[in-house]
Amino acid sequence: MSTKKLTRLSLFTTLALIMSLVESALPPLFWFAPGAKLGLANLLSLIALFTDGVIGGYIVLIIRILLASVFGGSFSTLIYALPAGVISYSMQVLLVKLCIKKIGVVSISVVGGVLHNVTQTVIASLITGVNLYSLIIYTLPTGFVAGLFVGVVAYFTLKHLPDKFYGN
Amino acid sequence: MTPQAEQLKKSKIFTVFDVILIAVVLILCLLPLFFKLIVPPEKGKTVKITHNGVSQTYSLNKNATFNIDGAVIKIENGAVFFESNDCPTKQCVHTGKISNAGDSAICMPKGIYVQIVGDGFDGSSK
Repeated sequence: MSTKKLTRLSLFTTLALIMSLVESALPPLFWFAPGAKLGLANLLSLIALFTDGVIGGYIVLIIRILLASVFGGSFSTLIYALPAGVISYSMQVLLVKLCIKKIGVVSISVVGGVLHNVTQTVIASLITGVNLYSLIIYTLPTGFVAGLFVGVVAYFTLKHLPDKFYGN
Repeated sequence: MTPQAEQLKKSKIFTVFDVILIAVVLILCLLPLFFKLIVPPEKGKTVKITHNGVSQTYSLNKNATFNIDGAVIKIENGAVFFESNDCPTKQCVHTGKISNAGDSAICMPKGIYVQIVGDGFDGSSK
């Protein structure tokens, strides 16, 4: 891996980690799922997908989640963030690979955001053994808004990064 | 630069398909809320209280008071609620009275789950 790429991915991972820790400090939206989060840190994985490809995004995602559970969260952070992040990111990868020519990053991020929260709700339901699907009323729109926000930020970030930022 | 990045640099923020996809997802996200408002809620008949993995079901028609691990749960007039609790957040108490099938009140720190059971697709237990 070139130094430039290494630096880039490290930067993204650190930023994602910071966002993840700040998210933990927000009033708990998912009070039924301790450790569940908004998913704003996925912004950096999405950006990494565009600067360093599929693998780059996975690197930023996985390392960030592992570090976040060590630094700020508990084991429960891992339980929610890992499946939610992987499923959400994988879906975004699929959409990018298939139709990036037709649709923009904003709608891709929206799908990712919704999927992130759906996964967290499902995990919470499985862990507690209680049917929590009625709480999807709150988690779905929240995921939509988070995804929308992340998508717009990702678009403007990627659009304005200088060309020499990319590449090896 | 990756091919997707090149593509993004060329494109505008929203394309037609973007708007369509976002609209579809938005409608899907608001559907559960829509159903909750439109479909008349089914009054629950029994409540299932789970603690430490052990569940017990009680009728909502019989008033009762339970003390589970410091939390006081009451069944009164067809509704159930956490009257008081010594947990830090008291989210369970803030949930207030629940009486419709599928509704739940949960104390996460203590692992106490109170859920109303009904016959509908929304209210039945897992």
